[in-house]
Amino acid sequence: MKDLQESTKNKLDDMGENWDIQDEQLEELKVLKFSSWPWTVLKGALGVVIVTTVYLLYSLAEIPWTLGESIAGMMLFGFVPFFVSFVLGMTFENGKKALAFSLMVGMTSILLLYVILNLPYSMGLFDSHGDGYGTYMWWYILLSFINMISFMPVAAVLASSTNVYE
Amino acid sequence: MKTRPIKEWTFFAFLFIGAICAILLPMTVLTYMDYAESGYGVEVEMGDARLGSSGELIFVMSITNPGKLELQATGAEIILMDGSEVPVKVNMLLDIDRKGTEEIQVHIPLSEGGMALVSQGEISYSIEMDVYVPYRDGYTTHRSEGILEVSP
Repeated sequence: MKDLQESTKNKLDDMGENWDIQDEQLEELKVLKFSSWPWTVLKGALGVVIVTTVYLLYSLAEIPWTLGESIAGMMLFGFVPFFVSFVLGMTFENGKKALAFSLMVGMTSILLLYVILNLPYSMGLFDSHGDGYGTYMWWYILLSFINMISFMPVAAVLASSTNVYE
Repeated sequence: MKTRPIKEWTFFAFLFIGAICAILLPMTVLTYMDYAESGYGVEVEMGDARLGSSGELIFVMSITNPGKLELQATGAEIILMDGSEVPVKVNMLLDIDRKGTEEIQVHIPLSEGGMALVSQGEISYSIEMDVYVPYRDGYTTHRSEGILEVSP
């Protein structure tokens, strides 16, 4: 009887120790995820900036530092949104939240891309323009949208699924 | 497998790339707007100027397109600061390829005051060139001025 009591006590102690380790791991995970709300807001803003920059540089062939029409540019066009969404996804343990957040960032980028591409026309910077200006603009918005909808959700869910105990 | 260091480094790389893009994005937008407003970044250089036999100024105008978007130069107005300041219309229809340079020879008849100025070896000019951007379906104007050196 005494042995049984002893062993149960030991087991309980072990369990307590495990709890401590688990708490420690959880704490580490929180730090690792940078998931407090200021970090999350910063990540979202930086995400929008990075994705918009890449889409914009791919769309604007006239800029000397354009990404369009080079192999390296195409690779950046594909990989950067994936990478950004991966980092955003690491904020959450819940895959649905990660998905929603990264899609929000992606859609904001597409909207911003539309506004920026349209600036010379909406602000009247050209001396004059014809009706054909929309064709190329919408083509690049479509390309960017297809890119965004293919890569960003996958990366976000993938990253959030790695937020388990090591 | 420990994923912690991978995650940390990914996050720091993200911050670093974000900082670069935060500078790159406004720079790109401002350049894009500036291009639309003033001649799509086209650079015009005048060279090899000489006097023709019948009192005219002949020079080579080279137009450089900095980007990877085809442009068209559809006409230019050149003013020589020879006292009269009458703009001379130059008709042209030049396709300027991606990152390409096109050259065109320009003849400008000179007034007497102009002849006197040119004989000193240089004359200042200003130019307004119409640029059409087919891919953006927009018309814009390049403006610049400089000094043309005339070889005797």
